[in-house]
Amino acid sequence: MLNACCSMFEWQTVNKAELNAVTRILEARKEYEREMKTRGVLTWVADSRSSILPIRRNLSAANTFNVSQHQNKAAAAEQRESTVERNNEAQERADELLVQQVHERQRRLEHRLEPICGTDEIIFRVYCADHTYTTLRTRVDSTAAHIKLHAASKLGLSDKHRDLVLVQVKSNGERLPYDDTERNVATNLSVNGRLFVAPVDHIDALTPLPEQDLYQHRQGKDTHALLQALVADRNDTGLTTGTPMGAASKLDEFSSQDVAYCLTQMAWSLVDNVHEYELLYSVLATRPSSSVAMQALAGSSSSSSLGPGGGGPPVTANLNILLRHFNELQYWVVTEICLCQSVSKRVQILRKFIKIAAHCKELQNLNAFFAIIMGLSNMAVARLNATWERLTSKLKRTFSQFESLIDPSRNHRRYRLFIAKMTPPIIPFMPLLLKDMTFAHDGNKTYLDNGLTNFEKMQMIAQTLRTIRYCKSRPMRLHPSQCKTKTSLRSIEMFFRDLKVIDNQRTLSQLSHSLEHRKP
Amino acid sequence: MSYAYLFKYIIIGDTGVGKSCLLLQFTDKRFQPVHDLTIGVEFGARMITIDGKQIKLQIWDTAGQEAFRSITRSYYRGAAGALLVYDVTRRETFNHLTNWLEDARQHSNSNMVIMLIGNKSDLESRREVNKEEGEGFAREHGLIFMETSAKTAANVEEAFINTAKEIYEKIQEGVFDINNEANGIKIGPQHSNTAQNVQSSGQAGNPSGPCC
Repeated sequence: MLNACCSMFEWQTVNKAELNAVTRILEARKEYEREMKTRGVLTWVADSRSSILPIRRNLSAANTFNVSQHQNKAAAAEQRESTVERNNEAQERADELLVQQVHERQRRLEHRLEPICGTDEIIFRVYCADHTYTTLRTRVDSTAAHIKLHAASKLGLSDKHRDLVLVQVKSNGERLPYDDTERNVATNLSVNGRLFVAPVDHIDALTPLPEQDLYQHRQGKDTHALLQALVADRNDTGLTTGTPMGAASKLDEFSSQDVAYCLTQMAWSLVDNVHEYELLYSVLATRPSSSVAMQALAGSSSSSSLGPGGGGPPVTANLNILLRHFNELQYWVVTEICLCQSVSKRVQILRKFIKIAAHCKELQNLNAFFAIIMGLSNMAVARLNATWERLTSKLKRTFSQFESLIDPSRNHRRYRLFIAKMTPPIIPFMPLLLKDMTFAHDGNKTYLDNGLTNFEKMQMIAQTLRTIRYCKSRPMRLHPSQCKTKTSLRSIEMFFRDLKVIDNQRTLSQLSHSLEHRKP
Repeated sequence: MSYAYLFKYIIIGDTGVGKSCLLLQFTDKRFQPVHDLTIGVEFGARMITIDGKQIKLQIWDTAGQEAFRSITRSYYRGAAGALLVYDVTRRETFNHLTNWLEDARQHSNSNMVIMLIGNKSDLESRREVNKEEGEGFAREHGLIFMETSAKTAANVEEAFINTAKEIYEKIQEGVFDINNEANGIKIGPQHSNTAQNVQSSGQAGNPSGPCC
């Protein structure tokens, strides 16, 4: 009898906890759907020039929504706060976080940075083999097939070509055809990648646009002329000041502390916009074998899916932008150094980058920290012995300490130990989360042989998702006192928004070799 | 378990060619993310025997990180062998080999043994790249070549072991400086007495620890 009572009691507690969890999930979903409804459709512009925030919000359209949304948010916050009082102790912490999140979202709204959702519209270009292009406006969650047909009709590609393919052409000439069913195409391009449409048997003839690689289309010139042309090109765009010989970048004008501050501010808004499910979708979408798992995990019916799809197909746009930001930062570091002809200037830049990285590390912006360190470890930079030799031994030591954190030994043990000591807010090193997710998925069956769901796998996946949730569990509150000159913050932000980098490794090594010749 | 040598491998290639599946097939292990930080063991590791000698293979997989070439580059450092994988049912993965190879050659030591692998050979009906093309590419670039199927396990063992044999031969020929860990080769603990230089400790792969 007593036993029965006990088990009854246990059952009730477990059940209550589960019920609470489910209720919270349902509430979150309702709130999300309500949000999306009042938010309306936003239009984003995938500007081919800017890359740090490749998708820019159409401000005029956005402003109209901002007002109503802001009010709605305030109401939601009030509602939340009143419920907090009713909650028991155990839930208090979770709710405190929730309130914080609502406040954080409000703050974000003031800065007009919002996550992209599937029903939003996006404006981007699609090119033909002859480099003519059309500008399209489609839903963010459109399939490659839809974009392909839309582009083909606007470009006047004859209907006879039933076998058209949408292809990404990277700056190094790599061509990546998209599967007709793929989504999030416009947001997952590589740093200087462009979308092309072509008949399937003409794919091999597609070549990158001159603007994709500033170097390659000037290959005829000698190195000196080339560097001058590149620097002039940068000056034309108003992105850099300084003399062609010194190839000084605007970077000189900014303090490393301020750059780190800005980078962290930007990265936080990007990280914050990423719905944790995007990580899941992005891994499942790249695995051809995962259609079943995809349905099981993402929910095959539209009403049962959560996340940035807004009830529609899974969207990974926000994650794509964050990952692209990472890659872009890296190539920015390499580009800056490889475009600098004078050794002493290069040493200065190198020093600056190490300092920026140190500040990013302090601000717990590990994404930018590793992007910079990996940029500096790129062979095109690492091989510049004459430059590294002139660095103080203290800075050299700092750099090798930083570099040791990306050592992949024992499944990135150093990094894992390092991050374990941190408290949120943290901007995590995203590529590693992707790797963990890939392995949890590839290495474990979704269904066991007896047809039951493999719960262990689900827990592994959940654990990875929890990591990102944990990192974001406290809002990043940067205080202007953390930077040196408040006035330059705006110009640093503009600098990063219009960043132009070389992302072709071959080009970067050629430049590197022209700076410091290989020793015999 | 003790070993005579430890070889480090890296697996590279486009997204979705089956890199992680090859590794999982070879090590016959499910993936356990390293959450127990105190242990922090390498997850892709297996012991093999060549010429009567125990050799531990430690494999760094780059799956899920294809879009971050720079990260992959940090893996090349200290790799003795590389498995460069493409998917025989997707032509573009074969077309991208040149770029991968260029990257590998640039970032690794010149003696690194590269094995070219055409994976998914079980999907004959969907094949887009002939075996001859793979062989041709390998010949042209001085690589060893094999077609495998991570699904049916065909040739998977052979791919990893043949690469190890090649590395072993190079050691025998004195091509590899086995005392330089940057080459991706480490001498086992009980054998290190014979080596001239003392091995630096604290590097990957605790020899006395559990294998995987």
